[in-house]
Amino acid sequence: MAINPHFHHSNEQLREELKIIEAAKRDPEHFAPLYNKYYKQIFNYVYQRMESRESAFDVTGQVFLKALTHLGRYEYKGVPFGSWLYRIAHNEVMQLFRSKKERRAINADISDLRFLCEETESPFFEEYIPALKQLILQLSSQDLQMVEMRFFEKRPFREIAEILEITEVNAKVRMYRIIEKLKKSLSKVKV
Amino acid sequence: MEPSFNINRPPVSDDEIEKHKNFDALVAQFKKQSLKKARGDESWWKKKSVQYSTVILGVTVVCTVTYQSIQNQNRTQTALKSTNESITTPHTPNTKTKRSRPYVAPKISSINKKKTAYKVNNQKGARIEHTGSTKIDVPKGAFVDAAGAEIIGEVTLEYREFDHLPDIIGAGIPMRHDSAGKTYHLESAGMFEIAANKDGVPVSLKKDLPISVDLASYNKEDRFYQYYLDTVNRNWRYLGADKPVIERSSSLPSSVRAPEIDQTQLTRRTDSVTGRYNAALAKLPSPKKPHQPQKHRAGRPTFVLESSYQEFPELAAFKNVIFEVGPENENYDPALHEVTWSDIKISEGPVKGKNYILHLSYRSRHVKLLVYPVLKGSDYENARAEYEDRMADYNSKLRERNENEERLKAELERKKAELAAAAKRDAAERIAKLTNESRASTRNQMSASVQARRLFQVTNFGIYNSDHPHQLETRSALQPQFVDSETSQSIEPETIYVIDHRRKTVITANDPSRLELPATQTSDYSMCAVRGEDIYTCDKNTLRTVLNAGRTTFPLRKISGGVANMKDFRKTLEL
Repeated sequence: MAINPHFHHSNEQLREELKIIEAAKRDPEHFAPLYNKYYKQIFNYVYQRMESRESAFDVTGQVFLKALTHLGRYEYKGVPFGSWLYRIAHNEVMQLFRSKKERRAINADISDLRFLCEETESPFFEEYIPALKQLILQLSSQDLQMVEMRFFEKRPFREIAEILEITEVNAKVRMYRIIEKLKKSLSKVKV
Repeated sequence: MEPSFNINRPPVSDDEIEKHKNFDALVAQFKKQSLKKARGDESWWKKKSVQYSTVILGVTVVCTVTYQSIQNQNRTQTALKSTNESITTPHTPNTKTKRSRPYVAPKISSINKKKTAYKVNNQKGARIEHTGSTKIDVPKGAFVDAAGAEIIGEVTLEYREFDHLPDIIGAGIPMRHDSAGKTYHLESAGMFEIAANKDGVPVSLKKDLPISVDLASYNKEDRFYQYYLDTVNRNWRYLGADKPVIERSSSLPSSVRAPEIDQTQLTRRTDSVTGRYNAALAKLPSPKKPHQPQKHRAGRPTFVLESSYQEFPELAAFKNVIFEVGPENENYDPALHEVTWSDIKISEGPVKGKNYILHLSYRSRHVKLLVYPVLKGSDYENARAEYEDRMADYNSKLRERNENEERLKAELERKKAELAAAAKRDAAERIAKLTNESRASTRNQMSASVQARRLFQVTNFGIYNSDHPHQLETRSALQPQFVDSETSQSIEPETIYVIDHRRKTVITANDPSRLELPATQTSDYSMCAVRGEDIYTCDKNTLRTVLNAGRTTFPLRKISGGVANMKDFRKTLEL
């Protein structure tokens, strides 16, 4: 599984980012490099979870507006600025689903489902897809979020932990439990 | 609302994403929003009552601070007679009391790291491997006496390293650095002290013959700088940027056996997949090949039998089948057709489905003939047409089955290959994990698994450091009190160390009455206090509670029995 390459930053890159953030706190015009850098990533994160493309663009815009508005509160924690943006995006989409203004969508490729099956030590046949979809839809909102980020978006555990504001160890433990649950359910599936 | 589930939804193109980006619109929206918010608050601060209250509050605060400051000064003047220098006072080099206190002041002997002594022949030089990792290169003729003359014979080189914060605290090394009017607290990536003597008399280094110290460091970041501790001017002297050489050991330490592919698990998984494949294969329908009707050969004798042939469904498939006597029957006699046989039976012949044994019996006479089921005339034509249809159907089903079989087989092979690749990846990951664990656990041994090497050129003996300066926002603690958390008795420590766990640095207060505390809670802090040989600590949670509440009474827990060694001390400090 190829890991999303955008998260990992060298110290040099983190320092550069921090300089831009400090400048943007004084003058919002300086926010442009961060906006350009993270726009596509945030849009893809939002669109991964939404049905409507236009709504996803709207939400992305909202995320950056909120980020700019609350930039003064941003605290550097040794991780890329993107982590904070993902958290804002996560909260924005969750809010929309809670208020039922938008329908939640789950998007996956065949290769993602195959990989998921492999993790659960189950063979993958195309005949399994309907059953697999059902199992995924039955996951709790939290578990679904984990499965999406790990298998459909191919994020490393560290990034998942940052977005969900949990520790990396906690993220791995949760994923292990989800896989065990799916493994049990998949073993009962008959084609 | 149940979520929708999409498979292989096409992604949005980069062009479309670019079209929707509009930074100018974002800034305009932000400014509009900010203006709206400001207008909403405007009337609030214009109120006279608010303005007057603010002024009165400001005056009160100033008076209180001034009074407290005067009180503190009075207390400090009496305390300054016998205490060490406080790093919180403004840095005034001419203060008499400061000079009387040693700059490097270890407090507790059990945790003050000992130096290692090496013998070096000055005429030969030496390459010393300290703990197997740090390398010290001493050139020939490096050591000179006070007059500058080369030392003849053996010199004792003394060396010790301070890898972690407890080592630094234990040795009483100050980590405060003043530069251009600003105060910094230093985070170390590696520090060492080096000295040499000839029969107990200190020696010096020749000017153009520095000693090279290739310091093994467990920190490979490149944000550090080299400093030398100037004990005369009582400050760290900046030497230059530190460029670490990263160790890229890709091989496991020799003590660790390289994990191999887990064959048992791989076999188990492969068997499981093969089992599923076989089960799926068994479920595939197996079409039955229809029997081809045979035409009667003209001139050959036949027998017509009246039977339903339930025993032989292939015979029942044909209407009006008759049995032709094969030419191989030597015992055939046309007179056999004249006999009224009492018993006639058919049994399976040598070639299943193709020929049969005809049993004819009358009293004691028994005749066996090899016969072939055949059809005549229109019966044959009809059977033949039906056979062609069945054959076409059979071929179609057979083709379908073969395709399914191929698909299942290909899936099986692909799955087996993936399992093998996964097992290989798993083994590689375990190797990487073992290597990292080994590095982490043996960092004190500094063997082949160090993170980086930091190169120093030693021109004067003393303490060298690879540091990152942090500018910490601190505030003075007003009249701090220290109490024993168990007995509630007041304690008067000699030295306080406030440890910043995130930045890995320490704020030292040799005058606890002038304790500097972190101004913002952006890190985890703990406290360590020393009085004589007694050590006290205030752990992270307790200190956080005290700081958040704005209190200045610090509960300290005494470490009963003191700390026997550095390992205990590290544990005590939660490091």
